[in-house]
Amino acid sequence: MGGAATGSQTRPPSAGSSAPAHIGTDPRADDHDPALPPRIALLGNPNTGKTTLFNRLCGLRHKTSNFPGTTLEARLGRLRLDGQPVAGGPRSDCCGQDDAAPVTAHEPGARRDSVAGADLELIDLPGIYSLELDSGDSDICRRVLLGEAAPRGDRAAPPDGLCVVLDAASLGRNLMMAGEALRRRLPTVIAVNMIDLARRQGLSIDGPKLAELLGCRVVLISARTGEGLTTLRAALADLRIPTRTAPGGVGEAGAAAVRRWADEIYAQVGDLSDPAGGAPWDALTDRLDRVFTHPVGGILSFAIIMAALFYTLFVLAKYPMGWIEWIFNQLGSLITTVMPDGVLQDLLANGVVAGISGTVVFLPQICLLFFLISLLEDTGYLARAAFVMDRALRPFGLPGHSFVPLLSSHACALPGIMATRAIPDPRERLATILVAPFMTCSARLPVYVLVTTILFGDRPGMAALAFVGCYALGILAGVLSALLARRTILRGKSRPMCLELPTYKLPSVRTALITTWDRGWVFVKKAGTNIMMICIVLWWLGSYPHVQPPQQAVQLREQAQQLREHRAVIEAPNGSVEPVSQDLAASIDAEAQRLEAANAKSHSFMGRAGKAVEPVFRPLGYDWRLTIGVLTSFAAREVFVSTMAVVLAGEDTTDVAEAGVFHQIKSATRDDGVTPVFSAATCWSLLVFFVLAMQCLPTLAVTAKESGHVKWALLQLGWMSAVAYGAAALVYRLAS
Amino acid sequence: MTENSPGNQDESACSAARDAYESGCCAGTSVALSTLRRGQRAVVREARLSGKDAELLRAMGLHTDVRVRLCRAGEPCIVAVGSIVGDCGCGSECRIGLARPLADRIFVTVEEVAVA
Repeated sequence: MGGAATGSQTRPPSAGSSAPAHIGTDPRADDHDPALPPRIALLGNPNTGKTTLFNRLCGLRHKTSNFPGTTLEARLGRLRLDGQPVAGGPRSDCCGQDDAAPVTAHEPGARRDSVAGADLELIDLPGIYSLELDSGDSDICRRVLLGEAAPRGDRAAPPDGLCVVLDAASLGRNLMMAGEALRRRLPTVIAVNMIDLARRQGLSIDGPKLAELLGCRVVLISARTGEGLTTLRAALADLRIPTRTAPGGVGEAGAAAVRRWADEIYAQVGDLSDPAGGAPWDALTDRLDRVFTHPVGGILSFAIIMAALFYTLFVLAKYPMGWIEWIFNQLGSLITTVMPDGVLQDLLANGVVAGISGTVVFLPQICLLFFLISLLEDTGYLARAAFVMDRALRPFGLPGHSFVPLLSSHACALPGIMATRAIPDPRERLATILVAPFMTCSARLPVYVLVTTILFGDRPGMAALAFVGCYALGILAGVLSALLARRTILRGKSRPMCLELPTYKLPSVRTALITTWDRGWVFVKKAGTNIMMICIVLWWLGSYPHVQPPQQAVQLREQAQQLREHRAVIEAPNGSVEPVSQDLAASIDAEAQRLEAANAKSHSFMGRAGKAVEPVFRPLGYDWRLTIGVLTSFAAREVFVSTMAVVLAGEDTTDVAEAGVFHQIKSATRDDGVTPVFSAATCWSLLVFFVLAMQCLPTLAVTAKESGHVKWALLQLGWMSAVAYGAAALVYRLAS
Repeated sequence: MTENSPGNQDESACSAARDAYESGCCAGTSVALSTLRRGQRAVVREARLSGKDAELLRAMGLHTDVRVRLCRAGEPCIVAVGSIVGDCGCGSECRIGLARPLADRIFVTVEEVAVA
C-alpha cells in the first residue's frame, strides 16, 4: 500500500476491501464532475476544535463556538495545496498506512500531479455525539454523508473522504465517533486535536499504535497552535479507505459493542504518563465551575462579565467611530466642494454618503462586540453560563437547550431559530422559535448606540447600563412571552438539560479575529448593497416632487440679501452706529435654508407618507420623520439610522463636516423648529420599541419555514408588534 | 510522594474501580448520582431515563459501567466522565453538566476511595 498508487477513478470499494482508494484525482462516483475538487467532510464530536481546524486549513471565515450544536449549517471551504509538502517533512506526528512508503513529490507515479496545484473542498459538519442519534444535527450529518444534503446553493453529493476530528483529552469517548466513521468505508484520516492540552494534563497518546488499530492514518494536531497541520494537509491529499472497521449494530447492543471497541483501543493507546499532571488542572476547573454555576455567584459573575464587556465596547469603540465619521464628513465636504450644485451632488452627499455613514459608523462597535463575545466563547465560560440560564429559564417553560438558540439570536435571529433544531421537544422548540427575535440582534445595535449616545453623551457608564438594560428587556419580554405560550397554546413539561462543559482555555485571538472579520464584512456588504439602495430610494422619495420655498423663507432670503448689499447699520443701545455683522446675515440665511429643507421634506413623497401614518405612532411620541424611520426599519432594523440621516439631511444648519451625523440627528427639530425630534421621552420610547418590535422580514420567513406553518410567523409578528407598541406608548407617557 | 498525593489517590481509586468492574459486581449499593458528594468517584450502573435522554447521554459517554467523578453537587450536577479501562479516570475525561432531574435518575455505585 504504497503512496505511489494512483487514485481510483470510481467510487471506493465496498466494506472489507483492502484495495486502497485515494482521493486527489477523481475519486467521486459516476455522477462526479471531474472539474470539481474532491470533497472531504469534517466530522467529530462538539468541542473538538473542528471549526477552528476548518478555519486554519481553509482560511474561510466561520463562526466558532464552544457549545454543542451551534454549527448547525454545513459550510464549505477550499483548501489550497499549493506549496504544501506532501511528505518528506517531519512526520513524527503522522502515523498510518503509508509510513513505510511515504508519498514524495519526486516519486515516479506518485500523486504529485494531483496534489500540487490542486484544491480540496472541506465541508464542516455540525458537531455531533453520534450519527445514530435522533436529532437535527445528526440527521444533517447522515444526509450529507449519504449525499442527500448539501449547503445552500451546492449540489448534494456524497463526500469523497472523511476527516474525523477527535479530542485528545477525551479520546476514550471520541473514539466511538471514529468507530461510526470507519463503518462508512470512506477514505478517512483521523485528526487527534488539542494534543497540546492533553500533554499539559499529563496524557500521552501513542499515534502509531492508534493508526494500526484503526487501520487508517492518524495525525496528532493542535488546530490552535498549528502543530501537525502540514502533515494533516498531506494526509488529506492522499486519503485511503481504512483497512479496519468497527463493530456496529442497532440500538443499545450496537452502541455497547462500539463502546467496548473504543475502550479497548483507548486502553492500548492512551497513557497517563504524568499521573499528577492533570490534578492541578482538574482542581482549578472544579473551582471555576463551582463559582460560575453557583446559584448566586454564577448570576453575579454573569452580570459582571456582561457589564464589563459592554463597558469595554463603549470605551474602545468611540475612537474608531470618530475616525470613520470624520472620513465620511470629509468625503461629503469634498463632494459638495468639487461637484457643481445639482441633483447628482445632492444624491451623493445627502443620499449615498449620509446614508452609508449612518450605518458604517457603527462598524467598530459591531466588530468589537463579536470579537469580545468570540473570545468569551472560546474560554469555555459560556457553557457554564448556560446552566445559570437553565435555572432561570426553566420556570418560564423553556429548557436549558433553548439557551444556545437564544444566545445565537443575540447575533442574529436567523441562526438562532435554525439552532432550535437541537431542542428535542417540539413544543419547547416552537416556544423558543417564537421568542427568539426578542433577543437583541446585531441589527438593533446601531439604533441602541444612536439613542443611548443621544441620551447620555459622554457618560459611557450610563450608556453601557442602558445597553445592558436593552438586552435585559429583550430577554425578559422573551421569557414572559414563552411563559404565556407554554401556559396557553404550547402546554407541556420541560425537558431537563444536559450539556458537555468544554475545557477552560485561553481564547484564540486568531479565531476571534476571523469571526470579527466575517461578521464585519457581512455588515459592510449589507451597507454597500441593501442599505445603499434603500438610502437612494429614500433620498428620491424625500427630494421629489420639488416644491416652491415657503413665503417666510423667501422673505428671510431677501432680508439677508439686503443686509449684505446695502451694508446696513444698526443703532446700538449706547447710541453708536455699527455695521451689521455678517454673522447676522448668515444666520438669517441659515434659518431660511432650514425652513426650505423642512418644507421640501414635508411636501415630498416621503413626507406625505410619513404624515399619513404619523397618527398611528403619535402615542409613542414620533413625528412624521421618526415614523418614516420606523416604517423603513420593518424591512431591516439597521436601516433606521441611515433613514434618519437621509430624512434629516439639510434640516440642520450647522456645518455637517464639523459636527457629524450624530449632531445632525441629535439637533434636528420638529416642524415647529423648537421641539427636538429626539427628545428624552421619544428616545426612551424608541429604544423600547426597537427592543421589542418584530422588524425583520427574513426572520419571519425562517419562522414560517422552521415552525412548519405561516400562522406562527404571523402570530410572532402580531404579538411582538403589539407588545412593542404598548410598551413604547407606556414609556413615552411615563417619561413625558 | 506522600500518602495523600493525587497520584496515589488516583491509583487507589482506579484499582478499586477496576476490581469492581472486573468482578462484575458492585462494591456498594446503587445510589442516585445526585446524592454523591463532591470529589466522590463512582461507576454508573443504571439510567432510568426516557429514550432520547438516555441515547444522548450514552453518546456523550455517560453509559453503563463508566467511571465518573463528581465535580459539583447540586444544580447543575457536574460530573467528569472517564474511561474505565484507561490507565486512570482523570487522564481521559470530559465534563458533563446535568440538570437535577437527570442526575436523580442515574444510579451509581460509589467507589471506596473518595478524593478530597
